[in-house]
Amino acid sequence: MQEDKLIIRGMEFTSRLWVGTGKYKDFEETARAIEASGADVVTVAVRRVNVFDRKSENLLDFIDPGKYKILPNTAGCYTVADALRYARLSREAGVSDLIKLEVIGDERTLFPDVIGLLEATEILAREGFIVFPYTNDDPIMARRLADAGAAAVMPLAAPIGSGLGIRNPYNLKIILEQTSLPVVVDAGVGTASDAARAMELGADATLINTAIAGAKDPIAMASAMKHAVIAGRLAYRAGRIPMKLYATASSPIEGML
Amino acid sequence: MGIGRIPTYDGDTVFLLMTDTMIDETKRLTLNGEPFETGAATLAELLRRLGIAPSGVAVELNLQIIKKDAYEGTRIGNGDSIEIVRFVGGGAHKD
Repeated sequence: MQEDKLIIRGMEFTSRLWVGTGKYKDFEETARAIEASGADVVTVAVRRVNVFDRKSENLLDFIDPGKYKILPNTAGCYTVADALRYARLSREAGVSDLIKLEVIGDERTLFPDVIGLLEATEILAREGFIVFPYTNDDPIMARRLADAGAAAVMPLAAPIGSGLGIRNPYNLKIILEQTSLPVVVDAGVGTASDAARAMELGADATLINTAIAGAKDPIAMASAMKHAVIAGRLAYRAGRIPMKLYATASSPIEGML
Repeated sequence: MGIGRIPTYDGDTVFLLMTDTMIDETKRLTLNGEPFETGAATLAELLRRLGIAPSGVAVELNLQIIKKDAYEGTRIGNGDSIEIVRFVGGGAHKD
């Protein structure tokens, strides 16, 4: 088959698996897992420097920004003001205008506050940010985010860290059909088959953090996810057989005794 | 104020009167949410004293993000609130 690069706003990516950097044992494990995943895009959070412990390590000493596309996020932000503040700080700290925008509406579900998300997307897009909004599985929201200037749509499969997999494949399919933006399924993937399923439905990429970092063997799971995303994408492009209620025999009747 | 001694080229000694602006004055400010004292006069000097390289961090002074090329020229004083942030591990996860 032809080459199948993921292209977003002129950036080209070979891997369709994006990974987060949270919840690992240490930076070394983080780096090894990312390596095993084959990911090109890596999300990071923005937090205070520990000014009193100068020996504390730096994440970007373990993850080469020259090798990976660093995508800062606004994790932990519950208001538009906070999300804007963190986004603008991350632009100043880093080397790009990319931002994975999270405006969280609820502590227990970590579902996005889509009204705040839309407002923040509009503002940041106007300021020249390349916005990747973490949103819900509502096709209307996806449309509104596209109109607001988002670079992609990142609908959740299930709550962050829940491992439930794709809870609403029908809505996801509708989003995929209706939007012209790249769709990156984000949050809720639990194991390899979930990632493959997301790609089989037609997602352009899948962002996975907890399922890898929280696995008993994160390095092995990172590799599993890498293969799952490749397999799912290839299956999608290969064009599957339809689902049928009844059998269609595989062998000819002609020549039977 | 204080008095400093500087030897001259001919071997003579000159006494120099040092004014306030030349001596470290301790400023009480808030750094990353905690009370902090420093003799640094500028953001750049503060970062140097903290051993923090400007690359890879972002600095906010009284809720204004300061561009890196302005660190040298931005003075800090009593009552200022400074935030220094950087990228850390954190994906789509619960803090």
